[in-house]
Amino acid sequence: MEAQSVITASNLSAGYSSRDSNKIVFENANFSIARGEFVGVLGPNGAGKTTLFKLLLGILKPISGEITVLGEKCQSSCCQTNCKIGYVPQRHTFNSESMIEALEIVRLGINGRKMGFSLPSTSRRERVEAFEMLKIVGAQDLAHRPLGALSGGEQQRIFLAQALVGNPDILFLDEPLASLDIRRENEFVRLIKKTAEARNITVLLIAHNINPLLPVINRVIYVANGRVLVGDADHVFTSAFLTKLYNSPVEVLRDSHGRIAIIGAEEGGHHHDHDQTGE
Amino acid sequence: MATITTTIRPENELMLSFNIFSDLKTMLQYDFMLHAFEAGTIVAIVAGLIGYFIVLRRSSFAAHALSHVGFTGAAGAVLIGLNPIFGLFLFTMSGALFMGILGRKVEGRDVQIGTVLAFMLGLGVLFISLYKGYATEAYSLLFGEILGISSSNVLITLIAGIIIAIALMIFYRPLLFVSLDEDVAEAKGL
Repeated sequence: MEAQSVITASNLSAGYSSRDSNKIVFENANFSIARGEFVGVLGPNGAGKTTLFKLLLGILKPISGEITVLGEKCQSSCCQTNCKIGYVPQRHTFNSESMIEALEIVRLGINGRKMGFSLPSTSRRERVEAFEMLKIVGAQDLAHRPLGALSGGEQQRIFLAQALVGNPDILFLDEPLASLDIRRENEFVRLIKKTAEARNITVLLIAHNINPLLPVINRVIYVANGRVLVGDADHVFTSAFLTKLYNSPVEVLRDSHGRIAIIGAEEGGHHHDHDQTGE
Repeated sequence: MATITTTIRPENELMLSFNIFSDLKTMLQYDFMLHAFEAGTIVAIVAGLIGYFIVLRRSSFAAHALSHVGFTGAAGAVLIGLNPIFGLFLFTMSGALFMGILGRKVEGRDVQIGTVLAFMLGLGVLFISLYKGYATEAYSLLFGEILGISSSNVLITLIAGIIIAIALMIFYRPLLFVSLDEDVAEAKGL
């Protein structure tokens, strides 16, 4: 299993230091992710989910510990490794005045690092490749629309296409479901799962709502309270586990479809797993 | 009782014909007008190229501040008896490099940029007041004097413009990537 793992972190600690203070985000994280896995990254706001991505991308340096991505130790965001990683960062708005067409945004995933202008033949090939990727994410009709004129969900498809266009081995998606409604959340997750399976891509997806991910995820990385824990969704989403993790009472409720609701319980109240499946 | 009106026109007075081509021809007979048009055209083209990225990166205030930094550099150079062009290039390029090093820290820091801008403007005015030469030279630095551009100034503007255009052609794609999507570009090692 170890030979197949694409991401390994051992004794990983992360934090931000400034002149006034040193803030530890999380400590002693140990996990390993195998090729082709679909991992949901969950946790409260500010717990360090995006920090974890930045560490894995080499943008941030860990305080201590080691990270290996695709067999290479992460030193900085060098292209050898990171060109094989597709990344969709968390974003709230995109410059709505931007008149750049969606196809060009996707094309940046292919040639964003190239110096000078492309030859007409190269340029044509890149455009065809970018258009094919837009077809895969079901956004071919948006190819020639300016990015600023697209809705949040449509923009997410374009950014996903950009992340996928370089044939990555790993996909880091930071809250891609944030601007989507419930129906589109499920559609988008299925689209990612289908594409990742077809190309044997390892996916790490940050989300706040576990439910759209439940049918597709293999495992969950839970970042909270200065700790990073990895496990199966069934194992992580229990009242006992989350209560221990948050260091505060948490209740996990499940409905008849297996959907999960996580509720912060009052201090002093007893907590246990509610199973309303009627079994 | 008849009222006689006479119009006296000096022989060398410019006559506008309302024919745009002949008017332009007349205007361009003068070197100072020709130089103004030449320099203006070069600056317009370069500003168009650079402006696209400045608007995309939302750093128009920082770009505006750089012009004041340049003024201070030019005024300082005049004060110590150098060509103002040297001071202008030195100060603007150092300012731009400094902003580049700071990177994202400059974004949205309009208050800090405004403070630096005011400080630089004040420093430039101090340099001008210390300057004992012709006041007109100092004022043309402060307000700009498009009609006072010499042919050598046009040449310098042209060379600077060509260098900027070539640099933009080389770095167009990475610059566009970083301007549009800084996080992803950073992850890709840009």
